[in-house]
Amino acid sequence: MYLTVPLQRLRNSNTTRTEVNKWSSTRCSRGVCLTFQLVVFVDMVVIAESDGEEMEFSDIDEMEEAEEDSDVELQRKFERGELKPGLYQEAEKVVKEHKNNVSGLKSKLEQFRLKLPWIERLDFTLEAAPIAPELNAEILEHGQTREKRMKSQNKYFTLEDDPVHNDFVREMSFYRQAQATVLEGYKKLEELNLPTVRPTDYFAEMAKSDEHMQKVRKRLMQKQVGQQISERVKKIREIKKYGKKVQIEVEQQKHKEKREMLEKIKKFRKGKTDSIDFLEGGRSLRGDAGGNRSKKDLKKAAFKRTFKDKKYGFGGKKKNNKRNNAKDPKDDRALPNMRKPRGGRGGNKKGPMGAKVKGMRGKGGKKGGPRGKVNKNKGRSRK
Amino acid sequence: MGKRKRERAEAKQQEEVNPLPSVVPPLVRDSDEPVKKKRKWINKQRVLVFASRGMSFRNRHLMEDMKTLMPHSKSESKKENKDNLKDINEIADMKNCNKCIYFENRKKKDLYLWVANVKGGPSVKFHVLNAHTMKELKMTGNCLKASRPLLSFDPAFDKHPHWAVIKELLVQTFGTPNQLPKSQPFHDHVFCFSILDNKIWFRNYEVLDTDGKLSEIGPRFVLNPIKVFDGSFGGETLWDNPKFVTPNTICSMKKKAHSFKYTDKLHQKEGYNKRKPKDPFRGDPTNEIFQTKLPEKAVSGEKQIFIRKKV
Repeated sequence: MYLTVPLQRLRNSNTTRTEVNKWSSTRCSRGVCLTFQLVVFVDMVVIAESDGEEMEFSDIDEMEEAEEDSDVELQRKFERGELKPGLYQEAEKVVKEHKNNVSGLKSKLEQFRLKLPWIERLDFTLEAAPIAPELNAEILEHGQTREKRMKSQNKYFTLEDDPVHNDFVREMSFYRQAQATVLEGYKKLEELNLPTVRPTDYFAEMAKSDEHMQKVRKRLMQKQVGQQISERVKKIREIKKYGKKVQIEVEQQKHKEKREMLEKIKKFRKGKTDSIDFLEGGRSLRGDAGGNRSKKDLKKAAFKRTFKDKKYGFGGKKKNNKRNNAKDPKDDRALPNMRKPRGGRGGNKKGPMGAKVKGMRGKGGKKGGPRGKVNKNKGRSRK
Repeated sequence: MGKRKRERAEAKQQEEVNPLPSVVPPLVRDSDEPVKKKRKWINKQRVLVFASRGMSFRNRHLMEDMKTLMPHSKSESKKENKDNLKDINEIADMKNCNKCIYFENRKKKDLYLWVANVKGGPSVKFHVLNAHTMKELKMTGNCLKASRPLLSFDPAFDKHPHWAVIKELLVQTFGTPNQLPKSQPFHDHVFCFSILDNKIWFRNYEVLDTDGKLSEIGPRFVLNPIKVFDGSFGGETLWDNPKFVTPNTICSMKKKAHSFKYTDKLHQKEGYNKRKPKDPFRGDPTNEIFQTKLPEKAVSGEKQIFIRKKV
């Protein structure tokens, strides 16, 4: 516990005041006024008696009012632990003055201003050009990509605080200011019949050397190529992913069907009265490789396959190759649109055609001779 | 391409663009007649561009870029920092220059830029930040070495007198004079000065076509104005930037902030030691009175409580 009591005030000079670890009084009792000198250390509070004089009440009041602010400050400082033991001297506050000599500036401006026509100066003071829609789109895109990238890393990311995006927007605003100047400037220059844009075939000394420009171009090309490659790689990845998905699906479907089939067979084996119809018809286990086919189509395809197998497969047809039975000479199947033999030819059976005809009729079985035409349609309707 | 071819090409272009004067000079001229002076080049600005010792590579390249972009510039060897700034006026006088751009380097890292009108005019001191040179590969544009740039200023330059003075100085210093013998015909680049956050942002764009398509060429930097002086490299301060913080102050603040880490840790440890309880927390034994156990859940020894002994 400690007392806060007004302390003796030392007067060294008229201008400066010295305060010795004072405490402001908080309406202490008007009876007795003790003067103490409190010397404060960090952890302890030591009260040391000073050789004080007794003060009159009026003096106390005056002191209080005059020194209230600084005393309050001191108290606060003590609470924070900033006061160190020793004498405290109130320093004079130095307020830094900032000069702004408006009249001086204006007179100076008048003095040194270049009073020549505008063409000598070529300066423009214009507002920035309005945002072109392409630029706006670019800014939005930049913001979106930036947000997407940073949100994945840091959930407290906001676009307003992002320095990269703000930088981009700032550069765009400078760009627009320059654009406005160019549009205005070129108009003025054309009125004065002065050349404006540099044509592409104008060869003169440039600010940057040709080798440097080659480096720049190379870098741009590399960037472009890099972008293309990464795009392609992304696409391939996407396709692979999709392909993998489809493959998995198809496999699962296959397995599922197989399982079902086996279960059905099991059921049938175990004595369920369901017929064995599920084995025939329906889709084959091979799956719908070429999409959904109708039953008719499947029958036709199956028939065609089996027929071809019989005829050409496994050494071809064997059974009915060589036969000489009663059926064949008759050959009562309708000949397909063959020309009826004319009289001359018909009568003369000794000519080349005649021989052929004879030969055809004579041999039977195979319709044509050794080099005869074999009618593959076999009497059936020609398409 | 050879120099002659280039000159021929240039001459051709000039002829195409600027048609022959209607007044043809006479075929015979008297040798005693004084030669008529060409009076087209009226705006005679010559800028002295040089630096002090202790320049870093980036700042040196920045200075070189400025020299290439300003055909009306002259260079000078390095100056000692200890020498008085007022001597620069004499150096400029010797070289017959009426403007000066001086790169003052301090501590081998801070760059201050002085732009001054040597003959009695105002001078400005800037602190240069975020300098990027022309040689960076991201700057894809290119321009003629001695073509006259269009100067673009933010409307904010007209709002305060100190900005107006700075603008005038920049126009006279950075703008290539009209009909300078070294200058080239086309206007294919723009110097863009904008005010943002009380600083001047400088950009240099190449004009690709008349629609206003631009591509960045040249150096880019940010100028933070410190003071505007009445005279060249000295004199009365006309304007003082209240928001300017010296790089030394920033550095010291950073260091202090760094030290706070250590002192904060110490304070935290102290606080914890004070708050740490010396004895472990002991529960109140009277709390167990009201904890009842169901007879079904009683474990081996406790079952005895629920078994009534027959008397």
